[in-house]
Amino acid sequence: MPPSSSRTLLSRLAAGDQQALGEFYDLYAGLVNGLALRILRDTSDAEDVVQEVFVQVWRQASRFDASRGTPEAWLCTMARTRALDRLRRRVSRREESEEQAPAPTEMPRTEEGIAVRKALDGLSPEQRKALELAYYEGLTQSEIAERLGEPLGTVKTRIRTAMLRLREVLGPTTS
Amino acid sequence: MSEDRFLELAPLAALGALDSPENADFDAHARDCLVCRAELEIHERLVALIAQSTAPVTPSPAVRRGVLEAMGKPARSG
Repeated sequence: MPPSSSRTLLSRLAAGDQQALGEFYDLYAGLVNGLALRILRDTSDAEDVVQEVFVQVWRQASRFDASRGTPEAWLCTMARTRALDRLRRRVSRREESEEQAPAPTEMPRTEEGIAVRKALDGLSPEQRKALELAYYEGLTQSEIAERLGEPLGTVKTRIRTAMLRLREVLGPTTS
Repeated sequence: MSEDRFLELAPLAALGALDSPENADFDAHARDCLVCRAELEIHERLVALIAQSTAPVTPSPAVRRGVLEAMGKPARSG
């Protein structure tokens, strides 16, 4: 889907066009739900996040700033923030199991998503693990070091190297 | 140079992976430093891209109905 059409939908949303929300939802609910599910590993919690995110889209469409990124990035940032908040509340209620999520087998559908998946696949397993603990579990560098039983400096270096590698590979989309 | 130290923190800051004292130091520095702020923005975009590598999963139809119903209601204050 070319970004111009999602941007058109967002301007219609900002103007209060209710039909645009259904169209926008149909385009992106899978993306938001996939991310929330990966973070929360619970269908019902993930769907709560989806609902919250699209209600927020409806109320804040006018705040979307195209110069700061794509609609997909905006949605994913909202979804990740909400899902991690929920995960933290859950973890504070009971200890989370350290079971590892199975590696996702289905591929992302967008060209950009596929490029990012390839870039992630090109990282060393240690770099990828550290990055995923930060991204999908919202852990800080010292929490990651503790979880992995590695020195803090090692974890810092792995995450930094992973991000710089992604930047090299994905360069053109981030300039 | 301390500038370099902060630049090195940008990827971790974008991920939200800095611990609290360092995170506050970075934020304070990046407010006044264009170079570090630009670096942070680049990494924030990368972070948003990571999300897009996740495979999409269609939510149940009830979620769509819930969203469209909530749209008709007035926004809660606050």
